[in-house]
Amino acid sequence: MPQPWQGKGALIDDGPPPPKLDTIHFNATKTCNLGCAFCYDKAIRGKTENLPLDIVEQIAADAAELGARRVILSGGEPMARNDWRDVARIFDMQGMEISLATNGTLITESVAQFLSGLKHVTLSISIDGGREIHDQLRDQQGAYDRTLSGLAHLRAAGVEFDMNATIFKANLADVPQLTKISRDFDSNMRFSLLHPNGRGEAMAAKELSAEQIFELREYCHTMRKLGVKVFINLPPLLQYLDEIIPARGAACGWAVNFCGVLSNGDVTICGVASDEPDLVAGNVKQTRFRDIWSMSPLFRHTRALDTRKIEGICGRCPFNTFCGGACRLSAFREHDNFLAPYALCQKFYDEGYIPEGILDSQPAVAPH
Amino acid sequence: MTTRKLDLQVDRQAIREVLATLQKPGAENEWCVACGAGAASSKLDYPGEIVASLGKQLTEPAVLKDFINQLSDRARLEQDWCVACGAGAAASPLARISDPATLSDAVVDEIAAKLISAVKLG
Repeated sequence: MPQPWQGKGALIDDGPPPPKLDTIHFNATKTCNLGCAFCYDKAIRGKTENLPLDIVEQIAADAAELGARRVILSGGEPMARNDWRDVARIFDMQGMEISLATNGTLITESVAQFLSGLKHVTLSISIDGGREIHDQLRDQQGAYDRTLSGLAHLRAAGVEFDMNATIFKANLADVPQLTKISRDFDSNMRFSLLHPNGRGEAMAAKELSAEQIFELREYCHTMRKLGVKVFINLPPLLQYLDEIIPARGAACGWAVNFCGVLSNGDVTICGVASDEPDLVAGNVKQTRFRDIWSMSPLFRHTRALDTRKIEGICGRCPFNTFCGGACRLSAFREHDNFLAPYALCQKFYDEGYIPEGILDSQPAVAPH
Repeated sequence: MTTRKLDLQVDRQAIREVLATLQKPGAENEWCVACGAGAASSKLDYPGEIVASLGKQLTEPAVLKDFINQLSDRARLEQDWCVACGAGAAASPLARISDPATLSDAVVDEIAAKLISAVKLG
């Protein structure tokens, strides 16, 4: 069935001016040197189509002109692209902060030195357990040791980094190992839950139960009191108040000040939205990035959505205007509806974990 | 659907006031609540202060729970004193450990086994 924004032409040149852009999530390549079981991008080992540097330059220039202060440089594995340093330099020269999402296995002393020379760069390193589990999930023997070697090079070069772990049933028991890594490097370790993106879509049966999520939340809370920087990524309704993630707008700012550019040039609502043709606003090989951001029917549609009208638990949640329904891409993927409730909060409500007294009184719209 | 009975008092207006303070257009310290992508820096220090000053009444069950947890954690670290006469170590049980490097592997494993069933079960 066609979506409301489809069939309206490539661009709509009337209407309100676009809001100021804040962040773009740019997948520099779909190639990766690892084969993670839950990769959101379904990255592949082997050569893939990458945008040429002149188009990357145009994207960066347009993004900067639209007000973007940051690029999340991801993939695939961004460092698997031979000219990734040129890509980083392009955004650096536009004065944008680079948040590099990488598996860390390709970080040598030389790479760390290069990164330390950029004006403003931070790294998010993926690591999902101790040696055995990590290598198994990454489908690459030796990946764990190479990632830890990369972390040591970053530390020696004075480059700041966080770590991200996707936690599900297979690696929950490795959380203490991850905690020790966070402690040893004195760096943030974020535990994210499995989302139905990319290869993660087929792993729903391996998601943590509500009880396991609460256990992990208590564990992180206790560890933080002891000085270890471990966090669990949860929407505010499910989080301790003093661990709610600050926000620059409702949810991540999707459609309002955030968008994704995929390695094939497709512009989407988020860099995690690959393999979702309904969410392609245009392609930078045919249309300038600034024009897609300003005039695409998809972005005009999403900017007009009112997150206060999100259905189910989100419509009654006191955090609604702050949270904005957490991840709207997840809602769309699961229900084909941007205004469907955030599945995790709905699950907790349906299982009786959310007291009625905390919710606003108006009845929730039935889930889609 | 079952609703579990939780003894929780919540002031929704106070929640909104706290959130209004947390939400800052252009904030540089946020990350994606779903995948974790975003900036890397020490992020959650100022919300703690805000919660302490504005939202304490919201979190009393949690504050109590933390307090109890901290007491038991500190007891292991010999920072306890006698509840009747005050005899014992001088350090406050609420003093945070500022250097996580002092946390041994054994303590990490012990806390994990206590709080995460999957760890306890191996």
